[in-house]
Amino acid sequence: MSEPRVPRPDELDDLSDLAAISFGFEPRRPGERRRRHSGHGRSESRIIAMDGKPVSHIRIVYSHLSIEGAKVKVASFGGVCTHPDYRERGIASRLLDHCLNEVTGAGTKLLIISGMRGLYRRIDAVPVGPVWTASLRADSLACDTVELTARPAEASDWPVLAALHQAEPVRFLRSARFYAGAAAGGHSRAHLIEHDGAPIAYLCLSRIWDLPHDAPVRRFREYAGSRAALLAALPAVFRATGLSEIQVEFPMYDREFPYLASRYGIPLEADTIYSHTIRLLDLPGLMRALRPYLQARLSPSDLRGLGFQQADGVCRFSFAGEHAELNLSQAGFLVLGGQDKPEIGGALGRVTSAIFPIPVPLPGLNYA
Amino acid sequence: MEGPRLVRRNEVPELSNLLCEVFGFDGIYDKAEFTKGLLRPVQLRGGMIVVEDGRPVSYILNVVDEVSVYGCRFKVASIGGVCTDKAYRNCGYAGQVLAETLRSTTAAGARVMIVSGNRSLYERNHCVPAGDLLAASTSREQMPSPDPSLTVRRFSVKDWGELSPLSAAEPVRFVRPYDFFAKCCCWWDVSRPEVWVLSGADGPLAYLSLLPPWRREERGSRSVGDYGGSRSAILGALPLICEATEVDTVSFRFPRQDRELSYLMSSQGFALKPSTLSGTHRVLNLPGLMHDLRPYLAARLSGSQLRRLSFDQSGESCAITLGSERLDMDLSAAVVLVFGGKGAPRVGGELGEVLRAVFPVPFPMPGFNYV
Repeated sequence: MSEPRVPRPDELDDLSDLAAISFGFEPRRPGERRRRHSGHGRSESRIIAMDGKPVSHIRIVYSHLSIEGAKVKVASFGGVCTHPDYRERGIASRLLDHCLNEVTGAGTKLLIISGMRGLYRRIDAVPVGPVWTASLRADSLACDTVELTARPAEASDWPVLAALHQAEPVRFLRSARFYAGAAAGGHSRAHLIEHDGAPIAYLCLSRIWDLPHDAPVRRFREYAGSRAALLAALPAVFRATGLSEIQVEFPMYDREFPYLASRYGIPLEADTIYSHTIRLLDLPGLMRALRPYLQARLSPSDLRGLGFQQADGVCRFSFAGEHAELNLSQAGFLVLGGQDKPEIGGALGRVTSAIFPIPVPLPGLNYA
Repeated sequence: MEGPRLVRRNEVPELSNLLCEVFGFDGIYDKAEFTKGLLRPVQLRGGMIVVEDGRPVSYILNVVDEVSVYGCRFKVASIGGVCTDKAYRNCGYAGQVLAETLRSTTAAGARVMIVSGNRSLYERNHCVPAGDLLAASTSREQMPSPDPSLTVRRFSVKDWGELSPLSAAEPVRFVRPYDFFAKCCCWWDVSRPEVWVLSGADGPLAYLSLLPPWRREERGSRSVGDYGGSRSAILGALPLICEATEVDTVSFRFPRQDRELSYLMSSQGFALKPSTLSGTHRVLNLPGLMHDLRPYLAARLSGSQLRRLSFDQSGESCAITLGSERLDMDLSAAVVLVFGGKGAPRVGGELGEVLRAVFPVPFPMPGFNYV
């Protein structure tokens, strides 16, 4: 078994085959060059090789969140897979531990993983990020309006989408170059909503991995712009796509969507970010980065009295002589909002409930 | 003549007399409360005066705040209360106080100046109307039925803890800490804007600040001064607020980048017209401003464009270059180019493409930060 490492160029065809086997992609035909399933580079991959070929893989992507203007470095893990013939040998756990150490050493504050399986729960990655969800059918929406149109976004529309995304208060930071990569990734399709011919919102719809690829059902992956226009344009989206169902998902910190949904009579269910888990990597560093966010929610004296520590898998929250010690999973639920959030009373409870959960965006086009 | 210099604590009563005399505050503001407000640290820190015969005769207040534009923070100076005693006008005192204010606020790191006025003094100093806004007004009869799921109540300063997160979630805003109202300019105390907290079943959804008019004969009208949170809740609650206050007409002026509000208003039949920010604006430090806005630029320009793009300023002249292409302009033209407005220079070539991709930069309305 090799040490965890970046794959060599001559291993990329085998890596492509590993992804095809693990995720049900169409296998490479004999003699065909490797397929770039997600458009990412070799340097983002970490593998363990056995018997001369990659048998376990994790993709690492570094990025930054902008949370009401506070910049937070995060890492995303995706494409986590192990060849079926090499499972149950601890190979994935070993690779995961290696990658976890790597991103922690790189000054990353949060780790976002596209997956919810036990492997991730064992490293204290937890389902968090409160969202509202609803399943909408083409015939259940009575909010159509003729002034709105929906059409698939073209490559030339990316600057428009970028400007709409940039106005979101909680988002991934992206450069102009990002969108070319996202377009090449091809996991989801962006639809531009226009009002009287002017761009007003967009949404990205992605397939649901549990369903057949051709199932006429898609899920909200990302959205930006006017929520009212977006909801009112969904009938146009159904017409443009031929879908029968769209599963909408929007973070609970978005105050516009639930209010509009209630006006439209759309029943909402509480959940956490779809098919993702998040692990706290550096609680004190995260809270330092979030200082502008905290300053809007706590008085200067409360802010001075609040302390965060993390050591040996235990997070300590302290305020005014009170403290709470939580393991990383519990701390993740408290800080990022999850159904198993621990209850904290007293003065410490007052200040933690004023600042938590920290809003995090849907992974969207930054899906790893 | 002494000054321009900062006002001293013992000069505040005379300063209050000057302001009340020039602006006619008598009968509108409680003078004792107004004078007390002038003693706040923020007022003393930024109150620039010229003294004649042992008392202030010319005055400008400046407050340096921070704004956040899509997460990019930069300092802005707001000036207000600009006045000169009638007996000392045409002596150049106002110009001297303004020049010293421009110097000190630039030295303090401010990139932009907001002026609550538009007279020739400002125009001569490159403070011009700017901003890319939309305006509309509505009467009670035109408003849709109120949303019965909403409740409205008047705001008190202690509510700010609940509303501050709504303000902080605005993509283009003044940065307002939790203790904002304890430290802000004293107009808040005396002008008493009507601020409303709009709530649904699960708590506050939005806030809305309505400003009464100065003229008594227009008491049935209000203009929107500040808002945050759900735009659909704001429009849904408007009839409730108008009913509670017997207000007949509400006028809106809001940044064009607020797509939610513009969509909702146009779909509800409001006639939207182009407008600009209130007062006038001046760029104090163009290279510094664009440096602070670099992440904003990076989301809109390629790496190559970003590397070749540079901004310069020398006195009242500015230049923007992209490789061999160059645009020279004065500060007045720079303001409308950067923030939008009438008379922005037209530029062709790749430089023109780049400038159209990044300008106008959104800018917040002063609202509670009005000086």
